[in-house]
Amino acid sequence: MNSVRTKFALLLCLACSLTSGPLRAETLAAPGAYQTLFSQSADTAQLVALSQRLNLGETVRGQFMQSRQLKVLKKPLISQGQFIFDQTQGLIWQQITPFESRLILKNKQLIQIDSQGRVQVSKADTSINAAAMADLLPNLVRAMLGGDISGLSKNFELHFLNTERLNTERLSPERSSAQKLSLENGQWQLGLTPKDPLMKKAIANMVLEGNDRLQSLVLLSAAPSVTPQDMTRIDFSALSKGKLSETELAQYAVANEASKP
Amino acid sequence: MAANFTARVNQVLMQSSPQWRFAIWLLLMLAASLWTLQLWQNGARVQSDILAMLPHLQQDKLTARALNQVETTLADQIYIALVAKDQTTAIAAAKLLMQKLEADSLKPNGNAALTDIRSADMQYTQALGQYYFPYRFKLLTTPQAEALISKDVESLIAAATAQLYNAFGYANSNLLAQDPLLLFPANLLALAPSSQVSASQGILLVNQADNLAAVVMAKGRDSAFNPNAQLAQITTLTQGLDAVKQVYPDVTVLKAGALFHALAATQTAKREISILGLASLLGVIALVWLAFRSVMPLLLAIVTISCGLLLGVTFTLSVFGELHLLTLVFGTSLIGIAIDYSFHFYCERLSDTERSAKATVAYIFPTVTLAFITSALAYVGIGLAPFPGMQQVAIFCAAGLLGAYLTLILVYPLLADSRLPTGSRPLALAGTYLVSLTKLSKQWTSPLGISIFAAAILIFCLGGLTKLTVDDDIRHLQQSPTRVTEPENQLRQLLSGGTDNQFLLVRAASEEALLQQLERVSPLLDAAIAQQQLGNYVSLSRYLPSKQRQDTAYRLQGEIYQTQLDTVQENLGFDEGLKPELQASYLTAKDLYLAPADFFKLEVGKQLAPLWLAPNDNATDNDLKNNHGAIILLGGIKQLDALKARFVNDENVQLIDKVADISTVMGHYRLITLKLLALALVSTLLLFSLSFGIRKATLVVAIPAIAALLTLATLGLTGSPLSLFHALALILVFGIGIDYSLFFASAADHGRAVMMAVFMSACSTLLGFGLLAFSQNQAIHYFGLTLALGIGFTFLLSPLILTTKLFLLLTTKKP
Repeated sequence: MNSVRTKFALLLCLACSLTSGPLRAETLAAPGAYQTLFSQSADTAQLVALSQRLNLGETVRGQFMQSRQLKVLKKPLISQGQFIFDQTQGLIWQQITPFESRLILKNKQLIQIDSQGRVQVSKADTSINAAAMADLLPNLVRAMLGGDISGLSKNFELHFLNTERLNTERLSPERSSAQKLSLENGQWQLGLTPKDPLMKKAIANMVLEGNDRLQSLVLLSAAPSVTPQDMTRIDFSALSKGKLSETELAQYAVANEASKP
Repeated sequence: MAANFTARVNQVLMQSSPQWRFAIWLLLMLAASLWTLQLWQNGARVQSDILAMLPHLQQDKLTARALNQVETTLADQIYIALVAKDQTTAIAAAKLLMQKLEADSLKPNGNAALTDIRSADMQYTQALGQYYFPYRFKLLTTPQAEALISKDVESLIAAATAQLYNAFGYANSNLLAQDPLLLFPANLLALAPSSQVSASQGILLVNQADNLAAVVMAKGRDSAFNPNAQLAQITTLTQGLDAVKQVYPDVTVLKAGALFHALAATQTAKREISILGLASLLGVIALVWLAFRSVMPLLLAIVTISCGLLLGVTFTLSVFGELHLLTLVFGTSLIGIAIDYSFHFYCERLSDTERSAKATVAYIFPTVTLAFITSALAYVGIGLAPFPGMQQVAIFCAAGLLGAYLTLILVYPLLADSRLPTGSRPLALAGTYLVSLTKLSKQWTSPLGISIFAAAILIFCLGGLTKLTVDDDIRHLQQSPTRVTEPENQLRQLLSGGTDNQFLLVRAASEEALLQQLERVSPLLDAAIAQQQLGNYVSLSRYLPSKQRQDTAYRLQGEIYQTQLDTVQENLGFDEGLKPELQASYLTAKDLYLAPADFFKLEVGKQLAPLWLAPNDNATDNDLKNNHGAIILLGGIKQLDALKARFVNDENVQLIDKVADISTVMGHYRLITLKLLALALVSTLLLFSLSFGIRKATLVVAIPAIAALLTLATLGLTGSPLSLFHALALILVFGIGIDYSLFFASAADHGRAVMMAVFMSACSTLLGFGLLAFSQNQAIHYFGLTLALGIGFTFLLSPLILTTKLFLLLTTKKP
């Protein structure tokens, strides 16, 4: 359980650190839409340019909307919430609807607070295997933050696609208005396929989408050609940068309290 | 009677010609050489396992099997930690090392020194998951079971819902279709032992202060105590580590494993054999040269020593099929003992140069024979101790003495007949010493003098003996150098205590009963961990729930699959089509049980299989045939006594503490040895009274007895605690010491010659055994120290026989 939760949190770190612009998208594209992306390969120059284009701050906060579509479930699971990511303090991921839950990742500790307010603390490195899986993701974050593309390509097969010309017709009106502001930068997709076989079993493929901001993260449980499959899309919105406020710091402090045995 | 017998043998000997005797000797030695050669070619070898030195314990068969299992499993493990400033370097260094070691392990001829090279096992969870998944209806974690007992399916549904919304969680369609409440992942996670280690890219990582340590493990193919395997293993490892050092010079290496202890022991033993052996040999040669100033005695001394060593090796190999390295260290002392007969012979020759070698041999024959028998008996006494190592020492030394004795009788009459240079300065020196000693003793042989002398000895003995302490802890006997223990302790700390020598043995009459017993013990150990008595434990209970527990889990899950499946389906929003399939799988799983036999076929299971002692159908012993046993490994024990107390009245669980058990046995045999010494004193007294009469016999026996007491007192005063090895050495002190007093007692008018012989003999013995006091091996050190003290005292006291004898003669003749 730890392993997956930790991984979850760490991947969110990545997502958040890459995200800083306001954008919303609620439609869930079919996995097949990414087939073109995963047939492309990424060259280093493109990736270096990408990491420079994304303006990454010390602290970022915003809202998220997540849609999970599982084969065995009749309806998609939609949830919303907010998050804060601070490079020194860690991550707070707070789901608000359909039920409240909070997850705090700090100092290699994962603190989960469920809807009943029950607190569960687990060390991110309590299990060999958990840590092994979770290890890939901080590397990913570090690689992207530092523009260290070789570090990234060590753990993932990378695919890059400039979707500007291909997909404009698929964008919602709302999105295309945002699109106009950043036309010169162009719309892009970055596909990541884990090299680690265990990691690959959990998440077969990941897609980051954005222009000069990161807009969404898509997780696929199988190759993009497979349908139906489990698919998750997280869209980020109302992002803002700036120092942590007192109230926000207090939320991390709650985590300190909780982590004491 | 004994005297008669020796006289008769002597007569027979005198009649045979020196040439004949020499021929017999040559034949014997040739046969011994050929026999040894043949033994060697048929696989006799040198052994360096310290464990082989230790006594056999009296224990039941299952315990013996468990001990053997733990020793063989743990003994060949090697742990290497590569400590670096950053994770990338640590991982890269570890990968390089593994690659080097693996390259070696794939040698085409199958002679790899190291096998099973590994770090973090990434396939672990996956394989476990695949194996356990079909048995999911038989598994429940404690919180899951508690929820189901109170029929609280809602809380399980809530937990599953929370997982469903987790985008990076384990909730996927595949799993949900077979495990709708997602109960299995928590059970799988419970199998992974929690520890403070982490892993990355297949490499096990541990934080060490500001640094990061990558841990690589390997298994020696053969025992680390086999010198050849030892050499091969360390060579392979050193090559690998050198390669790592070249690429990553800043990486620090920590090593742990029996290999490094064994290696240190072998190196020390080899060094000591060469240094002590050489010092001893040079000393003896110098002594012979100074005393006799002739080449022949020197050559004969070397022949005598060589024969002694040859017979020592021959007998030891014949009896044990192997030669322990420590026996050889002890064996260096043989140089000093075997030469005694030679000294005795030449001193007699020196004092009466007219007599032929044959006649001299005939003259000293009875004394030397008696001396040989007592010394050999002393060695046999040592051999009675239940130490295979000490038994080898006994056989080796007794056979060595036999070699020297045979050489004296068979070779000397022919080869030692050459004239010795005149000018017997050493004899004169010995004479002067004896004269001044006699003068001194004459002054003191007044009743007052004797009482003062006796009182002084008595006070010294009492003072020392009351301060004497005992220490039977074998951990104090086999101490590896700090350069071995220091990194090992660091590494053990990194791996949260590692595994200790103590373990639990759980037994029961059937497999199911055993698994239930293991389930009972786990909470007790958890409590011990909570109370800081224990660091960690490895029990099969984690992996193999009993049928009873599996049945309970199955029954409880009936609540989900038979009663509330509709509620579950509705709440989670499942496709309706899943219900019949889920119910059918639940029913089919009824007779499916996790069984130990299947589990041990898994890769993970194979690693844990040594902990399972299934009954051996081929065994003739009832204990092995009917009893099922399981080992629970313990690590990081902080309060052994408290832990022991937990199981003291438990008839199914036994805390096996071999170290403590051996220490107890050592203490037991220390007492027995001291009693044996007393018995030897009494029986020697009786034996000697037959030849010498009670008064003289008392005198002869009293000297080594007082020397032994003085030795014990000195040990007490210097604060050296008494151990079995001291006691064994005392037996030898008695065996050798009695020779000295015997030589003096039968000296008649040859006082000067005997004095010189005893002086030289004491010197050579001190060169032999006394040098052992400088050994780094505590056991050998104790042995050497005791002998040095004991022989020293005997040497000082034994001339008193001669002087006191005069006194006795005078006092008895007067009235």
